[in-house]
Amino acid sequence: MQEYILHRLLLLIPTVLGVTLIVFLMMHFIPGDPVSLLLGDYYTQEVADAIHQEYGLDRPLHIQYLLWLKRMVTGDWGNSIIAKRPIFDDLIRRLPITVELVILAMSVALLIAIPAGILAALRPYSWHDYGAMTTALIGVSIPEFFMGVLLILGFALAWNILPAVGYVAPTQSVVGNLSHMILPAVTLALPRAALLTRLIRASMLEVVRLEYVTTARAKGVRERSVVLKHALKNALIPTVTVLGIQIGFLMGGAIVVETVFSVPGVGSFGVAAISLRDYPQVQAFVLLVSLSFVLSNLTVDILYAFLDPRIRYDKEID
Amino acid sequence: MRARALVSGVAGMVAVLSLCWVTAMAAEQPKSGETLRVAFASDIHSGRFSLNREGPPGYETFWVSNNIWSSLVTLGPNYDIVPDLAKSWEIIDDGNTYIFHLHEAVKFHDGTDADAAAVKWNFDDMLTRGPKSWVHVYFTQIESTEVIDKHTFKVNMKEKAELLQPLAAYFGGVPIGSPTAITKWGKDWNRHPVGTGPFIYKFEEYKPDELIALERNPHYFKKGLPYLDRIEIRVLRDPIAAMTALRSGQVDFLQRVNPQHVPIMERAKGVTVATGPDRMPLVCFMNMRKPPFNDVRVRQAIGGYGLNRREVADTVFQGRAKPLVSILPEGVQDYLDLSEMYPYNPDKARALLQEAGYGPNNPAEFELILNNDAPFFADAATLLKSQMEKIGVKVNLVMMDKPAWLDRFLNKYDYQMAMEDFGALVDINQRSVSFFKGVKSNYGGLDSPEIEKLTLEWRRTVDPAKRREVTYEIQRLFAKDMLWCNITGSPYFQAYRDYVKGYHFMNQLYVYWDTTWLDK
Amino acid sequence: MERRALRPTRAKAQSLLALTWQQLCRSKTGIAGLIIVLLLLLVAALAEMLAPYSPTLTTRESLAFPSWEHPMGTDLLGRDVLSRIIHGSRVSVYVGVVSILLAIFAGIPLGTVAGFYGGWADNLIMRIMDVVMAFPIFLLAIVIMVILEPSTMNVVLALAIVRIPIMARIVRGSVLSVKEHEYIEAVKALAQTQVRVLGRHVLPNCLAPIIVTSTLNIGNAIIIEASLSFLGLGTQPPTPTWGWDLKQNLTLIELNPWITIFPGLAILFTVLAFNLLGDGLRDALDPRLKT
Repeated sequence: MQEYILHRLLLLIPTVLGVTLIVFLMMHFIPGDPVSLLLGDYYTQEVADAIHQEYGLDRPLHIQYLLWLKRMVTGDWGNSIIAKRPIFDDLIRRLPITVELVILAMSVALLIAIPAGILAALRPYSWHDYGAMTTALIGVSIPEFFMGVLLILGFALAWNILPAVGYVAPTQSVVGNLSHMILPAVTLALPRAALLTRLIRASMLEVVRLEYVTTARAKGVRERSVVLKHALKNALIPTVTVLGIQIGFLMGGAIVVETVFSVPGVGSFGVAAISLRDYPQVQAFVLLVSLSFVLSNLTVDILYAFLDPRIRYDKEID
Repeated sequence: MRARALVSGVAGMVAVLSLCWVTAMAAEQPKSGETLRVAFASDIHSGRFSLNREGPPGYETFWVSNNIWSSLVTLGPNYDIVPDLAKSWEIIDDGNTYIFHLHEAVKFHDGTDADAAAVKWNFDDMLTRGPKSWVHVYFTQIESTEVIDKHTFKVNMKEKAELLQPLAAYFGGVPIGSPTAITKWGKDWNRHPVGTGPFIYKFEEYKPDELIALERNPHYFKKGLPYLDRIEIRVLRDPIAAMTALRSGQVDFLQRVNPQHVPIMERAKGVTVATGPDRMPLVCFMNMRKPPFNDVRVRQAIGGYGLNRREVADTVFQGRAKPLVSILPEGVQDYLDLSEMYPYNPDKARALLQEAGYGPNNPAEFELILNNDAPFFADAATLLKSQMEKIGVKVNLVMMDKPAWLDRFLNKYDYQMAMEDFGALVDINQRSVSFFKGVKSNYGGLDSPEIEKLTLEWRRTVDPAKRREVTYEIQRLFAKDMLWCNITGSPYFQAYRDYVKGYHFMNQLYVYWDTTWLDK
Repeated sequence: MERRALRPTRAKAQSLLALTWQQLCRSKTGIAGLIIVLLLLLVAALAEMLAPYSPTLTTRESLAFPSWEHPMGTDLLGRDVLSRIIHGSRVSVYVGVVSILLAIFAGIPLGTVAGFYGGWADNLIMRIMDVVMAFPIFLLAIVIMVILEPSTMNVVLALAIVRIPIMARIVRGSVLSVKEHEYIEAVKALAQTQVRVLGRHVLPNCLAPIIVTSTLNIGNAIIIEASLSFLGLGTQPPTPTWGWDLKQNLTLIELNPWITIFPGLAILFTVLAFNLLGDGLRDALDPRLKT
């Protein structure tokens, strides 16, 4: 067991290094630079050169990479070119907001997925099953921005019961915070709900079928509930692991939802940075997101192996 | 009996009418207090207010800063030059010298004096920085500045030249910031803008992409103003979310409404939509450095007779834009309507193309690059492509995001045709930086000694009537050889709740909130 | 004994197909999904014939309400929405299917080499796959599209790249499980039979998970294409894609809802169909297969 953990941790190092290299190189393959954007119509070579120099954008690539790496490790995540302000501060400020959004979204997803998945598993291939699965799958069949806009038009405009945009800190007002977060959380939750429903149904079915095979026919309520409990337990492990993966993934995946609802989280920060070609900011963002993804994968793998050592170590990740 | 009834009837009517009149007057009396909640469509370059000492501000940044600073002169609601920090001025010797008489006892937000010495400091600073300050290019004719006394400031020009127009109109010209504050904050000076304007910037409240806060300046030199206590600006990127926020009352003021959304906003209850004659053009730039647009016949065919401007105006902008041939949009000073020069005539276009050597066996072909900043670019470009098909020209559309587009258009001139809407103009001189051969912002490769000569003449002319003639001539020259291809004006809209009063729409040039008040 | 058990024959493959079909029929939603997918493929193939107008024909009848001439109305530039939806199916099918195929074709050699040779080759390849998988799919797609200029082909490329690790892993897993049999140890030495081993044992073994993963991912690819268009990083105008039409006309939804609702419904039904089909196939091909 410990060997496995150690092994995985060691494997983490080349992965992380690879991620940093890709993140760094990415920026330099992207056409356009922040200086043209900053100066636009009034671009002059002198001002442009001054900015390039200030950010060390004129040094050779490998030197830039090593310098950047060194700074990342020591906690100096640099200054944004456009904002001329430490990126770290901005990220730290926005991180809890995205985290809250993600946790809310996963909670909503579970609230939908658990009853739907159980219902579908109890009566497989029945109309309950089809209904639950199809409804759940609608969540993955609509692009997030479309769903978001529909929710805004419905709840904020037509029925005017929820605010359309923005963010209110929970320290200011818990009700305000929740009312602003609920629509983006729901939008984010629906695709995950579909995934989790499928998962719960599949893992429960595994057990349920097995039990029905060994038991010729259901002998009554007591037997049923034992099977159910067993099935639910079986569904627990993969659900938890997928949950973990999704949380890690959503750290940077909430881009579209944060943009549509103007939630000041990490995702909207990153997208703005990309469209402004603010290299240090983009690099910091992509790095943060990838690292959190890698870490959550690792945690999930270890947890999984811990909870169920029978399972093979290389499983598919959806 | 009847007479008494009549008298009481009349008296009653008079009473009712006076009551109405009084109430109406009271309703129109500006009320002090309240917070104005504004939504911007993009952020203010993260809180750097460069006072025009550095690179150009983005529009959003500028609209915040024009409430923080004053300049010597500015534009009034009718786009005429009105006093700001300078309460009056004299033009001596046809523009060789300018003398400004400043308001007395004006203080910066940090309490220091905003006197002639401070004004001189700002002017000299801009002049010393030279090309590093992007406005410098408009003030190259300034020779020196002088402090005559505490409230009198003098500018000596190298030759007779127009100074008031650039000072008043080009993004605030030379805004006057507190020298004390600039020196005090050192490298961080642009995050702590200190001016004499109606509102004070609360830098400690700034949250990037979230909140920009302005508070009332209790010592503003225009007595009685501003009415608002506070302004809170949020950044709402998604247009539907922004419109919903306005309609549901979450915000009071939308800085920008897309042309496509205007029908919805006009129907919305309790919402006012503001617009004006266009100051911004929708351009499809032709790169004259290489084929096919190095040939004037091709330019006239494709950009002139073969382009159905009316169709674009009617379809893409749903009738809210106007076809535009001149380099200046309709609302700009000294605009000349040149639409008779290029009526839509596909046959003539085809004939010209044939003259230039293109035909069914050798079709003209070009690539049109556009960016995804505005949703109507894609629509306009698509329409243009079908229009070109009708005259036998093939167009390849290449859409990319703004920085990539800028890279090709601005840095490398790597394009044949490029679509964009350029900045809002006050006059032709504001655009004229690009008219000179060899300048970086000469995107299209313009090489016209005549236009350069006329531009310099414009700058030397102080008499507005004479300037108008020069402007007309420049416009005619551009249109004659189709050196600059505008399609339509790019209309600009703002929307705000009905209870927002006293706001003067200035079509992107300024967003002044000093006379705004909320009738709540 | 083992030799016989290992060698899959034609007959066995055929009976596998029959068995799969039987199982699939049990799932009504799976069948529904299959029908819709087949319909989609039919529409995509016969787009030219079925569409009443050219999808790029601009007219003056801007924003026309649905009518007999235009059953789904027209958009801002007067183009027939129905024709754009029909032609849009082509792009969606193209984007979804080709990106997955590319991922499979890249994944097969990678997974095979990693599985067969093991050791440092395996480590290297799997590390690279890990790095690629460290990026959330959408984020990676965004960055790739920003680096390359937006175009349909580049969208396909971006979507293929993000799927390669999964395919490689599946193939590798299959190679590893086949390797376990001694039979292969003996055969490994003979280079020319390696391809046969690949064709006869490895591929059929991983066929099931590949099919299921592919079906489920095609739907996701279509959604990502729409989201990329939302950010302005997708296909080029005037290409009729559902994602582009959805996004471009979204802002007109209040006064002219049909031009955005129809592409939205097209996406909804197509992705739903692929997902239902994928679920049905998963249940049919291997009931023991967990997510």
